[in-house]
Amino acid sequence: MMMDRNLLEQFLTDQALGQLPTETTALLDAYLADHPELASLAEAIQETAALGEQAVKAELPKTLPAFPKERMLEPVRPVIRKGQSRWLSVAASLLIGIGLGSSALLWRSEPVQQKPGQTVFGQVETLSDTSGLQTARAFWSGQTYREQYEQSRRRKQQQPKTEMKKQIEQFKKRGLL
Amino acid sequence: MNFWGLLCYFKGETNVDMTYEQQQSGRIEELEVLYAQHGPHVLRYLNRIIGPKWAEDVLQDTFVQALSHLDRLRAVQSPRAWLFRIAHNMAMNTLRQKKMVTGVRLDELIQPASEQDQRLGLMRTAIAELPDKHRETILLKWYDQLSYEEIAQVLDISIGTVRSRLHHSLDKLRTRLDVEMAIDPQTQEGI
Repeated sequence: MMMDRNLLEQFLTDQALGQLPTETTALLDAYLADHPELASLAEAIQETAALGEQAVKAELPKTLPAFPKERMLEPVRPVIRKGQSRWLSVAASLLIGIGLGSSALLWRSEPVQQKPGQTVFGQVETLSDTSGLQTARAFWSGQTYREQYEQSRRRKQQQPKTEMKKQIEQFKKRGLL
Repeated sequence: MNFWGLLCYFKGETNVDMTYEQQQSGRIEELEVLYAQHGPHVLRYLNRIIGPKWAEDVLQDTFVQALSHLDRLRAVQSPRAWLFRIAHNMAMNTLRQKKMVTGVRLDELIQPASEQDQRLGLMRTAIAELPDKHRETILLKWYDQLSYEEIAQVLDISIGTVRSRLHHSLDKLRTRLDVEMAIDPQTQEGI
């Protein structure tokens, strides 16, 4: 039985590179003995591997720099990498932005002191400013959301009653009740 | 007293500073043994991928870096491949910082002592012309003398991929040499 050509070449490569297990080597040798026509292929692969190894063979360096013991004994400092520092600066900018924005909002919504002889327009402004202040404070305290939630809950509780009334009226109109 | 010292102190260990110092010096001694054993191999590898100008500095950086990851050494099969992997990463960082191009010419590294066999020169040219990934794999095998498992660990690929790359490289080299020798029969004189 003939072995797949690619598989055979793979085994021959492993053998030539000294990476074929001993048991597989014995099996491969037995197979090659049964198929002498493949001997030249095996020889060519062996020769190429030997030549390649010889062509790039290099000696180990004779001198080695000193072992960096002093550097290893130095205390380790936390290192902020390039990418990390970028994200840190973005996060810091966002925090500063939010802080500045909220303080500006609160500053703008300070109630204006009404001076004697101020125009009606000024009074309106004062009123809107006060409501602005309330809105801003409510925003941070969550008051607005609580109120909205309560309102919607009340609406939902009332809704079924009105719908039921409408249905009763419709039944009455049709003479079913 | 440093952070580790404080930690040991709160854990109720006595000789706080000595414990930390002993641990650290034990780690350094362990690395020193690895340095003597594998340092020349790592330096030869670095000479190849980054050049002799930076290789020694990167070798030292590699072992300093290895100290902070020494716990991982217990989990690896081959300490040499583990050191090669760290050296590879350090070398790539250096290349990036210095804006250098990777790779050193093979003929700069290998002194052709006896070039009676012209096929050696042909083989070097053929290896240099292989695709980058294939060339790197075959050089880790022939130049750095690593096993399949070690190559897989260094390049962070599977053993199957290593086998496949080596098989294709060897096939290409064989075909290339056959063609060259058919063109120039003089090269066969050295056989």
